[in-house]
Amino acid sequence: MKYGYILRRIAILVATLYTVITITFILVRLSPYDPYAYFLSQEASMGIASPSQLAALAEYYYNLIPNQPIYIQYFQYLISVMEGNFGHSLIYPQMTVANIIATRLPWTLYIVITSTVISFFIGTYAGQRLGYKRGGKVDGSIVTFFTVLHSIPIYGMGLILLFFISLKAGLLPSAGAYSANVAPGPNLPFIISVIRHSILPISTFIFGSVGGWTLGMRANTISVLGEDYVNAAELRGIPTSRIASRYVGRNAILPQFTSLVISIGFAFGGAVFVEQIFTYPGIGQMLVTSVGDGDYPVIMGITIIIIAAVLISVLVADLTYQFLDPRVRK
Amino acid sequence: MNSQDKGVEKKSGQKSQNPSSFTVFWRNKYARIGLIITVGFFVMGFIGPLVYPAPKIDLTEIFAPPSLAHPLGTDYLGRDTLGDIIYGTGYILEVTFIAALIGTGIGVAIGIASGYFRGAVGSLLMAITDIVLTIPGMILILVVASVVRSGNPLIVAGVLSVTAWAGFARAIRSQILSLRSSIFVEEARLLNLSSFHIIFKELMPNVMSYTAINFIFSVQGALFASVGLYFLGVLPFSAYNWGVMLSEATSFGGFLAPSLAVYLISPIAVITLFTVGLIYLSFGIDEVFNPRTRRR
Repeated sequence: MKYGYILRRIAILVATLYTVITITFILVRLSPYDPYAYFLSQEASMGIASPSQLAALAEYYYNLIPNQPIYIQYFQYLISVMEGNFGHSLIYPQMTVANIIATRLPWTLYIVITSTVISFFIGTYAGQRLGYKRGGKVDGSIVTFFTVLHSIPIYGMGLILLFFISLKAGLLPSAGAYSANVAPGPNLPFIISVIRHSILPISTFIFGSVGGWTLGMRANTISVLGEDYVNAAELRGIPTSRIASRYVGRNAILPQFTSLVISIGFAFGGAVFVEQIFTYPGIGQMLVTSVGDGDYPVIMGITIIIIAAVLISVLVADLTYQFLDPRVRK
Repeated sequence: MNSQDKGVEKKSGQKSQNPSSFTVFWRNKYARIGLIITVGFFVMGFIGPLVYPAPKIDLTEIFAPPSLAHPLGTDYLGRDTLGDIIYGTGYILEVTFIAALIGTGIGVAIGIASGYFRGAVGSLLMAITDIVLTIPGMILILVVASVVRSGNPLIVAGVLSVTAWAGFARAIRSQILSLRSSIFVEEARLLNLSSFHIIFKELMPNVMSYTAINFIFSVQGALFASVGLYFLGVLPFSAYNWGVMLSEATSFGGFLAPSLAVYLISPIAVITLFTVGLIYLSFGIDEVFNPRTRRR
């Protein structure tokens, strides 16, 4: 592998993370809306806290000490974020933001990763089959079908599934990650409950993204089928199934991995809507709740963590791609 | 040599030798459907409110099923759903088209600048682009919107464009890099034409089709995101807004009302229809500008 390339990717990751941390600082501290100053004036107007208590409160919640020069505040903020200290929630003062994130993030990762993997495989398989049947009668209507499917916003898809499958038909639970009457732990009722609760959120993601995977793989397959080496393989009498897997599939799937990198970011963005619709206790739902409550320490912490998660997944996907394509590997 | 001359290619067996751009566009089934849908939304947004009565609160008709008086039924305050959709169209068109203008404008400017002026400026612009490109847009938009909290179309459009320009800037840059070394640009340089001339007269026309298609996809992205922000309740609630409709469908006991299906599906259906229209329109533009993809 090319080490220069990996180093460049890691440098971009660090620079991006730094940018995001700085943006959150600017939004809280330097924008004309300044939620931090609002917080201080609120606390001061209650008249209970003395200036030293006020400073302690500000540091407890925001990791920012008032009355310091702005660049000192900025460095304090950077250092505490790097230590994994995001302050405390304004709504649940006894909880650290890091704690809230730690209990919420696994649910989001479970939903996002499961659905992305399933959608990728279904779409890639269907796309290759469609690519082989290009130009036929079915082909046109299937492309139209996937275009329409692709045009439904993810929250629209989620609301439709929630309304018809869960509330009208009563087939699957409409909220939460597991039922109240099962004990969390490695036991069968709990696992079944978790799976039942996650079917609709995961399906929403799959319906929202499978069209893109299918249409992409179809286009890749069609373009690879026009290559000389495929014709040459056919002329040499290599069995069709072997051509489909070894010659066409392997080459057509490569651009899909590039799309995988982009789709990870989209999936986390979609998680905000899906978790909100199904009241799923993930990090996206917490973000929406905090935005509604004006709980800025939580908003900033979650933003940084989500973006870090996306950046790391993108890096992993990117390096995997480097490993998969021998032309890039050399 | 005029770079636009390349756009016209003669094909044997056609009645007219040089079909006008619009003829080529209209001949394409997808383009026709796309244009009709998109124009339809503009008619609905700007002429609709002049001919259709404004939805009024009527507590005797809460969650009424579809009828002649209310073709799509009513909401939790007895307001006409079709009226809500029609009166909400103008705002959506405003926000999405301004957002697409901002995003596409920044994308073109940065893409051309970093592709044409190589060296330190170009590298710096590309480094910034790479960073913005890796930030998941929806999350950043949500956070910025949560601080800004304004429903002003210009501000909302600005928020939506925070990251939208980056992918486009990168694509434009790679096109500019390949155009830079093409013969007509070399010739323009030999003729000692100014950078201004080369950028606006030689390079810009060649990235126009791509820009138009990106503009359409930016409108679509802004549509999903703006309605989504209102649905989540991040932006202040306002009358006549598709996202607020979706949000209200899930609250105020809406989910229990028997006629909810129509009320819930109406805004989702218009968003989907608008998106299909935009995608089909992009197919049509692709054909007009790229003779190679024209159907034979």
